[in-house]
Amino acid sequence: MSTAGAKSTINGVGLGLRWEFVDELLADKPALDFVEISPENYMGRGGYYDEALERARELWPIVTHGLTMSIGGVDPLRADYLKGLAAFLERVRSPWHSDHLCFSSYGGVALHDLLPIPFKKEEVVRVADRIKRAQDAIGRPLAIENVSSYLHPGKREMGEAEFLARVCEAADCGLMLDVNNAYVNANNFGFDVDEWMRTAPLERVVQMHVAGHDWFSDGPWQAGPVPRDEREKQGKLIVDTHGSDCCDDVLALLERTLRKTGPVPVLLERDQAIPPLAELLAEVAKIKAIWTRATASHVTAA
Amino acid sequence: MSVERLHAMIADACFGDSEDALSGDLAAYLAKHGVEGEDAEAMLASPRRLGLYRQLVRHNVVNVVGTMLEQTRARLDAHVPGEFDRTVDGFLAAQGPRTPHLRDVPSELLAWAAPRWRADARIPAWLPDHAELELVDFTIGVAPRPPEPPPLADVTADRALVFGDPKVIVHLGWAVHERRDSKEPPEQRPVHLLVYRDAQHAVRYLELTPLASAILERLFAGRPLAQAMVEACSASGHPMDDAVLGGAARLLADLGERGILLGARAGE
Repeated sequence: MSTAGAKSTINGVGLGLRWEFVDELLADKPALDFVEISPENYMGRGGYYDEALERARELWPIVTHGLTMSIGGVDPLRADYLKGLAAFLERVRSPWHSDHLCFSSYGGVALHDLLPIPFKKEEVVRVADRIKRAQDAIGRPLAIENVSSYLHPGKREMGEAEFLARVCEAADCGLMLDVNNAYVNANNFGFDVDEWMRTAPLERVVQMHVAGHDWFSDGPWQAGPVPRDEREKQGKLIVDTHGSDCCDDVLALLERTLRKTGPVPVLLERDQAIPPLAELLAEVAKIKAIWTRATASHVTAA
Repeated sequence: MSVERLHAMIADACFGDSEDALSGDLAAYLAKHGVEGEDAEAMLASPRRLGLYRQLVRHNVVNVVGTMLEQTRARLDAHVPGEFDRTVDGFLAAQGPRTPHLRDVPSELLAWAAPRWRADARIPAWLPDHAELELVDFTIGVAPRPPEPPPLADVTADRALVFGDPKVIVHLGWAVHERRDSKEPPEQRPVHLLVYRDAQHAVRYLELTPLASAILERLFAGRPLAQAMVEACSASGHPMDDAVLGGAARLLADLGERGILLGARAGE
């Protein structure tokens, strides 16, 4: 099953559905283009939030974004997890499913975070094979997401964008392009994010993410103010917290990228320091204006 | 250099008992995990970043455990300050989460911690029961929606009964469901508690007598009503007299009013 070229009626700008505002969202019923959910938050669950999901399905198209497939891991893919995931995706009729190009388990221990994998030549085929097997197991196109990272485990044999391109090509899968993560990594590792975008397989993008981030200071690591200049950036890292508004640089990068990809769905993620819903929806509207402006020529041409 | 060694090293950095090693001699830590040569050199160029991963990964687990066991944490720390965090540290270093669902990590933690808490004289004996009920409460609240019930008939002695879900009977040695907000210790006595979710998705408790609990467990397992009562009375050494029959009738009526008892299975 291939994700490359996967098309859907879902487009525009959506919002990640979170417990913190699901009640208000369902009551207000704003005109969102779609919402995104993490299956791990619903699989094997019922009760109030399961009912909320059913109500959300009646209001907006749903896409799914997983957290624990550990597609870059060395532990075997979990058959029970994939079986449950396949059933859940069928229930919510997500047109594709995405998860992260990382590892999140080792030795049977679930680490519950997105840990970096080495960009080595020998890894391309191994990871691509896991993606193909996962894609077959869930019965839907699978897109992999570039993750934020704070170290590279070992020596790099290629850059992240090249690794992504090779893996997507070998697996014939889609790319969930997280624009914020590309920006975060460019800052943390000191590379040109536009060069990164020229190398990444943008023709395989099926969806994009944008989010906010925070600057962390070392010793011990903790969030602090945004550096005002290059000197203040010394010793600091950007951490992908999803805990603030999207910064102007990330939105500008989103616009440049959308001009290249044409209209693909864009999703705003917010997981920490969640503001009042009206502010969140205003940010969605701001992103939608960017989306409309950036994709206008593509829409007209189509 | 195998990728597996790199993964093993990072996993150990996150959950292992290695904080001092990470902030001290990182080269020795990498060597211990077989990370050498150019891979080790690359990682030594950013020596503190493994510690950031340790901080972020542990935060995720500690956050969900602290949220789902909020009352247990407060009560444990009131008796032995800092013990809850030490318990989580011990769990992560010794075993770590196995479930892919973050929400299930607290149950894994409790399965590991409860026997250790029971063996620790500093910790109140009722704390494992308190933690178990706190998790059951959460679990029933979010349990999967029940399937559609089978065709129903009137309740008669020869029929199996149909109950709504989710529900569970828990057996505790302390009345931790009473005065849950109190700082006073709970009463020590055997408690048989039916925990269920009502139509408004609120979690409710119904304390049962030992015999009522024995009957209900058999009914939940699918025994016909009369058989469940005979077996429960026999197992409890209780004569099946008028008092038992009357009590069972009142219990079933109560369960019907609560929306737990739906009826009897038709066609049996």
